[in-house]
Amino acid sequence: MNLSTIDNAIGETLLRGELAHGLTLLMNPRPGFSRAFGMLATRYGSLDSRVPSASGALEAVPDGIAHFLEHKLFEDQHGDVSLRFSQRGASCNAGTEFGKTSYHFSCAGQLEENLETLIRFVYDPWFTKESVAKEQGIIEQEIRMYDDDPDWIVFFNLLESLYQRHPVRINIAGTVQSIQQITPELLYRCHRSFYHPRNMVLAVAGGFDAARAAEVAQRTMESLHFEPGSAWQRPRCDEPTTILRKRHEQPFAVSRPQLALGFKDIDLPVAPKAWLRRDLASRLLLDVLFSSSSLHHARLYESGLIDDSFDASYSGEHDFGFTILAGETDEPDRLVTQLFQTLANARQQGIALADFELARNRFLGRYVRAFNSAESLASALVSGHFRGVSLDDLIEAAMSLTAADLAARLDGHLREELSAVSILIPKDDGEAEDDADGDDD
Amino acid sequence: MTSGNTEKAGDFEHRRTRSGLDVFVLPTRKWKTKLLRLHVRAPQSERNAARALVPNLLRRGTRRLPNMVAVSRALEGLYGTTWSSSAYKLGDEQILTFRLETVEERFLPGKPPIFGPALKLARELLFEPFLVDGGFPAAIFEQERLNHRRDIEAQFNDKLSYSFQRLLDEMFRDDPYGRPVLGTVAQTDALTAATALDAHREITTRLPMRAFAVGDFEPAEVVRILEELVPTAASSAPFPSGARPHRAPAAPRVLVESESVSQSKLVTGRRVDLANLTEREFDALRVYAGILGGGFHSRLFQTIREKHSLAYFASASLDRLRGVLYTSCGIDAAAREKVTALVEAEIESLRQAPVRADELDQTRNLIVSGSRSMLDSPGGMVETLEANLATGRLRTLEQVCEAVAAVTAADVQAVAQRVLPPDLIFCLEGEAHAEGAGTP
Repeated sequence: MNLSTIDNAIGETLLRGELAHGLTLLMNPRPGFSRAFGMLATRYGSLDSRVPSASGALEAVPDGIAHFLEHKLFEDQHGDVSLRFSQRGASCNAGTEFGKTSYHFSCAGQLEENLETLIRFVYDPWFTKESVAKEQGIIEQEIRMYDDDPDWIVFFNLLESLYQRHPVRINIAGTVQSIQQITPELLYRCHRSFYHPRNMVLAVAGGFDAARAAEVAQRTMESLHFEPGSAWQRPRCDEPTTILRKRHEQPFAVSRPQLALGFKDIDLPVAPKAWLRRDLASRLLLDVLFSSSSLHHARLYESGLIDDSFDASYSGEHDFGFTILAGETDEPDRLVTQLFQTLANARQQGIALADFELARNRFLGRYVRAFNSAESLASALVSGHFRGVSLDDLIEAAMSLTAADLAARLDGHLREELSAVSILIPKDDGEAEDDADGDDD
Repeated sequence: MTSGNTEKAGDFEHRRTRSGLDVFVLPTRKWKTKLLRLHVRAPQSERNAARALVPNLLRRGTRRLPNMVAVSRALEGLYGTTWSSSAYKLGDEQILTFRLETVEERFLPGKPPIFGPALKLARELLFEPFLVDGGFPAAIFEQERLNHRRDIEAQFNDKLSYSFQRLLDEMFRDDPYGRPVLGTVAQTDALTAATALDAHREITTRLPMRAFAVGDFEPAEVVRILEELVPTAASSAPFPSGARPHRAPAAPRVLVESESVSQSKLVTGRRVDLANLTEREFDALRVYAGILGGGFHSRLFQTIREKHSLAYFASASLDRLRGVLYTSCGIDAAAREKVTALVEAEIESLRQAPVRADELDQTRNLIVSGSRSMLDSPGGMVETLEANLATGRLRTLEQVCEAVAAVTAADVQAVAQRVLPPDLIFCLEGEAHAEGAGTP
């Protein structure tokens, strides 16, 4: 296997290769680091709510199955896989997101053994009726934990309002009901469909020997058998350009109302670099408007409508994107009115060059800082791989954007008719007040 | 130690400024940032709220940069230099941290000067707040006081952290250790602009401080920087904490509070007798807590989650400064008594029998690996050193790793005898979804 070097502005050693069966390998050796981090990820997540059948047609599967599968891969004929990592002092974990599922470990030594364990367990599905039933109890508790998390609930309530049928509106873990429908057969089918090496990437970063790691990964991959397969081409959802509902409220055990104002992005370019520019322009725009260096932010903060809990963020994948302005506030409706007023003012005033450059400088500083951590770099390599962009593409996008690109996003994306509001209202049982006022001596 | 002499403190170089400030430097080019941290230390008290509020007032403006926008623009102009502060609890102390982090100039186009101007800004932010008629402006003070009150109340939104604070409230009623680090709503309501200004003076002139620097630094250069930044600052030994006898409670108290939550939180707290603790026992306690609830392999996780499917998370943690062992599980309300019994059974079993070789091995390896991973995090290195300074056990991470690797099953069983019965079993209880949930 040949390793090629990926050029990058920071001057880090970034290596790329292709392992047996088409698995992409990305590495960032960091001499002087004590720990190494390995991540094996597949382009498969909660967005993939339908699985290709034998005929090639797509069939619906229960909500939460990608996450369920992630849990279940940690058990095989010989028991709990995580114990094999902990025997070597390594810690392992996994995460399911909208568009990807990743399995990772972190270790200080025995990188090669851990890497082999990682590859073998992810490609070795083993599901029984009993083990599936056992996991249903555990995941039910996980779902209930999220059900009590106000940030999570206000977020998914909003996505359910912004989207009419796009699977991004489906809760990643599914529901207590939907996971009851998951069977070993369905799990095997999803694994066959989405865990082909050509659909996956292996990233290693931190203190380790790159040549030896590549050799172990290659040897392990060569020992496995796969049917021919290809990268999963996730279909674009024909989501309407309108939202489903303007407003959603829910009583919740919170100390004050929680607001999330969302904007659905309907400008969704196909080409990766165009997509990256849209993504970055949206983030820089939100920085210009709502970071603490913005006069707009200062006005809202000084009026008491927002506090440090306020956050403005943009997220997107190939066929969806949304901005969320969220925070705790005593007056959600007044805050919504003021946020729209802020956008109107910003449109009128335009994006000042100085503000744009400040946001870009901050972005560049953050970009350099991300290289401090092997984990964050490995994650960035994996995300970039699935999106078809490199780390330097990000710098290139940042340097080629202009204030006018941000103004265009403000006009095209942050529009009232594409917005929806999600609010959690404190339950009126007085318990929060009573408890928080504890005695003081 | 005198200025100019170099001494090791764990993995750091230890120096002292002319005024007596302890300075800990980790010179390295491993990262792409420079980190400078000041830790101001105070005994936990009814002044917690006043002190925790001060950093929020300071970022609202300086004499030269009289509002938050001006301050933020100055920081962002320095390529996203961050200035942040927070309060955390270490034993009986409230520690206020002020953190300045800059990106190494050599990685940026044109190598712009960053650290020098950032340091100047930090000095202004700490010592030259924007004042009107010698005090914090009334409107700014009132707003930050209200925000601080809301911050305290918002702890309720995170049901696990809320449950832990309720446990501390009840278990340490008359003990400063139990106080919330941000203070209470009542303390916050009683604050005035004058008490806040006094708390600022207390922080910048009267309270002991420590300084930490991680990055491409020369120790002597850091000493110079700090002699200029905080010319009068001094350090001190830990504040005396009233010796508290460890006696077992007559019977564990069970406190159940109803809340409209989907998942119930079951947390317990119990004392650990630290009297005449040797270094070996200190390390054995860490292994003990790891075996009980420090990871996927642990007793609580394997029993409550993997064997009985009764929880998504089940873990234990240990405060080795004060000697308190905590457990926590997220469960169905119907399973409360069953899970309580499982937790107690595991703790009892660690007392009765030596741990298995495999779990001992896994735990030691995990602790060693976790400690080594601190070596890759600038903030982690600082916090590890701060914790070691508090226990008075200054070792390099490698020395800690060697000591942990030497802990035996007999050591673990011996320290298990130091763990007393629970003081309090607290449950934030929601609706029950299943009678006798989980598998038998």
